[in-house]
Amino acid sequence: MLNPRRDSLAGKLLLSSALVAVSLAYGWWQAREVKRPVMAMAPMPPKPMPVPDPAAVAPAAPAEPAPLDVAAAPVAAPATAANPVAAPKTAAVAKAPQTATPTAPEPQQAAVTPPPTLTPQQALQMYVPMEGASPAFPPVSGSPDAGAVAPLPAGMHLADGDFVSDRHTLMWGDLRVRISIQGGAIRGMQVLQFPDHRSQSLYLSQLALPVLQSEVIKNQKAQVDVVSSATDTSYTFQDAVADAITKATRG
Amino acid sequence: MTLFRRVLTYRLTLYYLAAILLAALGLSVPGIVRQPWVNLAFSTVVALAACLGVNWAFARVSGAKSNWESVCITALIIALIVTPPAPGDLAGLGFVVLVSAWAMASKYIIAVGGRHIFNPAAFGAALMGIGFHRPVSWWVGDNAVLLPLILLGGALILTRLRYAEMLAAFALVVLGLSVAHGDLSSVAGVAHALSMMGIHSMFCFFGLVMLTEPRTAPVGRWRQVAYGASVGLLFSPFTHVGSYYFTPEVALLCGNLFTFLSNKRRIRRWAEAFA
Repeated sequence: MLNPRRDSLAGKLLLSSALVAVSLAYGWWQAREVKRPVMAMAPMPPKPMPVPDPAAVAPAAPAEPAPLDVAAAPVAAPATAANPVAAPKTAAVAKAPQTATPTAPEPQQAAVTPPPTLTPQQALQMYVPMEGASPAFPPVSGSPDAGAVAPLPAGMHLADGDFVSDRHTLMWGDLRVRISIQGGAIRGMQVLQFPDHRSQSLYLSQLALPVLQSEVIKNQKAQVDVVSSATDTSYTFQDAVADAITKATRG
Repeated sequence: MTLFRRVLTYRLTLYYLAAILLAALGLSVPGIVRQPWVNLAFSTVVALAACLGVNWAFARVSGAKSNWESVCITALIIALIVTPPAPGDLAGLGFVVLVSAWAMASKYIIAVGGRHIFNPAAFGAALMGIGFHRPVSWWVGDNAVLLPLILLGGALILTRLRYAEMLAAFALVVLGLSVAHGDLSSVAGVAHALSMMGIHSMFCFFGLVMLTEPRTAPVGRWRQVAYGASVGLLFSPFTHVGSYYFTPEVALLCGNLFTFLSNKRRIRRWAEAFA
């Protein structure tokens, strides 16, 4: 005689196993997909810079990068004085837009530095969990849209150089940005510090900040459109950019 | 008033969520709600189909009677908290399907005496969030324009369920912690902290829709107050255990566990099932 309770349990087990299998397959597929577009996730400039400074040309990334096993070799990326390798982080959170650039405060009004190109090794290292504060986002550079001018009072202009905003605190963490001004226009920017201490904050930062960075360069102003789902982060980002622009404003 | 009394709580919640979703859909067309309406409609259809399908399968093998309204409520909550994927975004689509599937499965797998322990939508979201490092965005909370509707419908639900003390305890703890961690030196600082948490976050939706689910909320006033306060403590973005910060869905699951553990009769039934 059939035992309905046992049948029910067997059916539940079967369905649950199927669900686990589908979930594992999804995870496996996602892990493969995530590795593939890693360079695409790093925000790229919309157009090449119009006046390239010979000194500002970043070294080109190797065309055929050596394969790197991220999981097996978390510290295999090249370490330089500018790009020290961080220790592994305990929280296992995938971090997309990361380089190994330290988040130490930058000297204001420093000479214009070339935006470092992300090598494939560094890009792969984005997925290596890091210890402590997350490294800064990769710098974004580009050209403003035609007709986009920074809204400044009459007689004022933006001085060339790099300008770092003060630390702006939002509910989920601190945010600090650096803008690079060339020829009186914002040509590059980098988020030096961002909310990252919990997975939700990190997710929202990764969702919003690359978009906001590109928008600021395109529109040449701090008040760009807010990214949905990251309203607080967007508003604080606007404040930080406005702060940096204020520091760059000269009479 | 008579009509309001006649409508069952499940149906009232379903209408409430459908109204929020329709409002979001309508406001997304002119861009007031910053989600493409196509994505939103698509995500809702996918969540509904996945929830109904998986629920049907589990109900069939369990020989249990299922409540379609409850299934639709879970699907609508999922549509409102998971960022709607574009129709061509297979990864996003898979995520919505799996969150929905696990939400429904939890109602049958993690249940004692035919009663689920965890809030289904929170369970699906938490499991997928932890498993794939992809927490849900709670996008509905970022659209303050939907807040009047959320508050109005929530007030109706509260009138029906009488969970005012529970919600007050939750709100007091969450807003209190936000203010305490904010700028206390000025009224503007306090107002900013309150508005950021109260208006520009998932706080209202979470409190009025998720926290007040009667099946996973405890019975008894003091237990409800303790439940609201403990979920509020874990919900706060400032609360962490070591390096782990709770997401809203995990905070709710911890509260659900508290509800289960605080009910001696359910624990006895659970122990008997094992014996």
